Amino acid sequence: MDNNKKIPDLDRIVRHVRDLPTLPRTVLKITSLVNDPQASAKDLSGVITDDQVLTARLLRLVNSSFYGFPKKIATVTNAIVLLGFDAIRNLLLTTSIFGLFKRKSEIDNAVLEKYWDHSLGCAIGAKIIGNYIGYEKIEELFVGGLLHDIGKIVEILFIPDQFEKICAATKEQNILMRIAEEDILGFNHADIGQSLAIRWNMPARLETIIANHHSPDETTQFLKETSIIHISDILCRSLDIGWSGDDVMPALNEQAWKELAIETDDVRMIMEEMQQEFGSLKGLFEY
Amino acid sequence: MSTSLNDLSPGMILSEDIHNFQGLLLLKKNTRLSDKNIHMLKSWGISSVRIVGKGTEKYNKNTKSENELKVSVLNEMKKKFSGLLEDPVMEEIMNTATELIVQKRMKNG
Amino acid sequence: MPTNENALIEFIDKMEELGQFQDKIDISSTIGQIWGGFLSEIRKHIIIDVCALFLVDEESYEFKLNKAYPEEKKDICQKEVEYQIEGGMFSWIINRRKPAIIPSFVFKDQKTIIMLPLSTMKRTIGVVMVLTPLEESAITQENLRLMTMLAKQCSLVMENSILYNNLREEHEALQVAQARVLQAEKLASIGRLTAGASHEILNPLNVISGHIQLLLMKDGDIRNGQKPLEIIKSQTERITNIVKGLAQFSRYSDSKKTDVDIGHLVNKFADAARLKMIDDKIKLKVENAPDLPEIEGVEKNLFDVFKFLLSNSKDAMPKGGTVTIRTSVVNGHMLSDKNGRHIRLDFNDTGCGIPKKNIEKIFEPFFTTKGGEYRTGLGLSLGYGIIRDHDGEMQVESEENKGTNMIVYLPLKKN
Repeated sequence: MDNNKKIPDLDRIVRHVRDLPTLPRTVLKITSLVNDPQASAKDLSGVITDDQVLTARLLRLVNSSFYGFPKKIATVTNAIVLLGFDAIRNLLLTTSIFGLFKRKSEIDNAVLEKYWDHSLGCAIGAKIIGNYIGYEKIEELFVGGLLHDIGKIVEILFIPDQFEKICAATKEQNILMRIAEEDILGFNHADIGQSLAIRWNMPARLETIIANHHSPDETTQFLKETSIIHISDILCRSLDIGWSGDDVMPALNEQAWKELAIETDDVRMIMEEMQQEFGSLKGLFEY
Repeated sequence: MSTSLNDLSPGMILSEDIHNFQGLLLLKKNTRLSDKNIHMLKSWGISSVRIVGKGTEKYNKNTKSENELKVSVLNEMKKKFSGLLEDPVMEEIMNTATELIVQKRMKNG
Repeated sequence: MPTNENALIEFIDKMEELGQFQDKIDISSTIGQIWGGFLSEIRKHIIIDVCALFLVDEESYEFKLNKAYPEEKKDICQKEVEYQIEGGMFSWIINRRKPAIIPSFVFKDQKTIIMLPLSTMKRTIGVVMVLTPLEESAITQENLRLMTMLAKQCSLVMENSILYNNLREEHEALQVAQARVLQAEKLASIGRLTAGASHEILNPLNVISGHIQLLLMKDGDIRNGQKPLEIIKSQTERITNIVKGLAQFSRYSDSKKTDVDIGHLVNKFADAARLKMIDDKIKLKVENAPDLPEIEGVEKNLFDVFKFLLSNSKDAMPKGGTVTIRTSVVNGHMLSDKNGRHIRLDFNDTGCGIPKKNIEKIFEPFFTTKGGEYRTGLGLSLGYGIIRDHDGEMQVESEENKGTNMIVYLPLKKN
């Protein structure tokens, strides 16, 4: 096993893929507020409610089957004190991400939708698995799932010609997409995702999840979180939720499976829940 | 068939063991329900339970079309999972996925 | 920004201090004591109007009210939680395992309730409900995180306390069981003694009975009755000795204890014994440690123990040999967990030794390998009993054809 994984050349990728999106200002403001221990729920909700669209999206997400609350959560403040500052930050990120990668008329948006479906499915799977093992930062796992294949979405939107070549090579040679990416670009979608995470100043945990979801045993830290995304990705592919670009299934990493200690009997329950929740949550997000 | 907690009343008898989210056994199979223990189940977030009498499983005879669908899905799956089926976990995932996909497609018509 | 930095550092300090919550709680603390500690900690960080502790009942798994502050609010706290359970938010919070702030059903004016689940990854211990006059929107991130930390600490400490108390109860139950076993053993040994005694008495009785029958059958011919009569006489004496021996067991208890100088006693014994053994080709040596401290005991009885031991050694050396009596002071001994200082007395002979198979039995009453009608095999048993009455112990080391060492431990006089 090669423990010296190459750190992606951020500059090279950025040079190659122009105009990588930046996080919206509101989200940045909120992140800095969340880093201030003295920030009150009022302070945070003040920033959020300035943006009506964001507020509506947040409340819709909070009141959906995502949490399944028995009663309606009426205000942003209610949501903040119920879920915690960190969770709210991640929920806001969740609702904002789709808007950063808008459809373009020149590309096949039906295909783009399928990649988003897969990312959403993986996010949902991560949430379900996280709950199953009693992991606490569920919302962060959700973001991790959404972003694990963001590199592919970047390719579709920003380097469509090369993306076409990659797709063709993947199909013809019946290989995993990342092999084709490495051939043609010199880096793969996990590397792109990692650069984006660094650029967006995301916590190291998220960065590691995105960079290593193919091979969780290459991480020294955050094995648990990376394993969750890895397994969720595989379950998602097996359930045909969305499309991840290749026909071939990646192998299940043994260490990841051991790390989470999921009972084989419970696999069915997890997969059923994934299927169900995808059906109910898909309508919430526009992509 | 599971019964929602709101539809339960004292006197009903559980037809399964009930565990909480941490695996703690709350009530054993064949326990008679009371107001007290129904309230206890609610405090742990149990949303539905199986009781004796309700919902004898209707024997689902697979229709011909369902079986055909199952065969074709399974073939697709086997291609997808080729080379990986020595791993029993992967095998379980493949079989479960096949069933769930067939169920979904049958539902959606 | 300087203000932000300071705020962060202050926050970290507060978190660290909370992390030491468990140091303030002793492992043997009761839930009540932990609750007291928790209350005083949480009030450092947030104003509290009402605070209640609900614990998961170990049998019914219901969340039962355990403590309420102030006491008068007990009923209203109970009601609030019942409404929250019916309303569904309670279980959501328990499953999420994180503090949450929710609107109240029952408390009218102060509407903000903070629910703090007390749980570890594997187990939910209960939940704390806090009512604060603070407005929901004024809650800061610091508040939430400090409370999360405190709840976690409290859960750990309470779980330890519950486990510790369960362990202690089990231990106490075990000790009661142990005492019962000891009691049963004592009764059993009395039973064995009685059984042994009755066996020893029945044998001679059978012999006597048999010979009397013989005599009766011989139709009054007394001249032939001489041998049977002698046998009857000696068996009767044997029974008498056994009964006397049994009586000795009671003789040795209930004696008043005084201060005894063992070294002095051993010397006295050796002098008297040498006088009696001039013709026996047995050498008797004494090696006393200097300045042996005194013990509490019955001199007469201890003297008899030496007599029994010497008698056994003599029997083991029919062709002569050496008996050595050695005394010393030791700290505790293997036979008990008593750690105090003891006198150790080694009574050593160069006799034929005791075969391995017999070593376990030598302290048993009536066990004897010596022939003859006058040996009752009670000596060591009596001796052992006397030593036990002195709160001491006895041990045997022996090798066939080499010799035997009897070790006696006697605890020192308590100052």
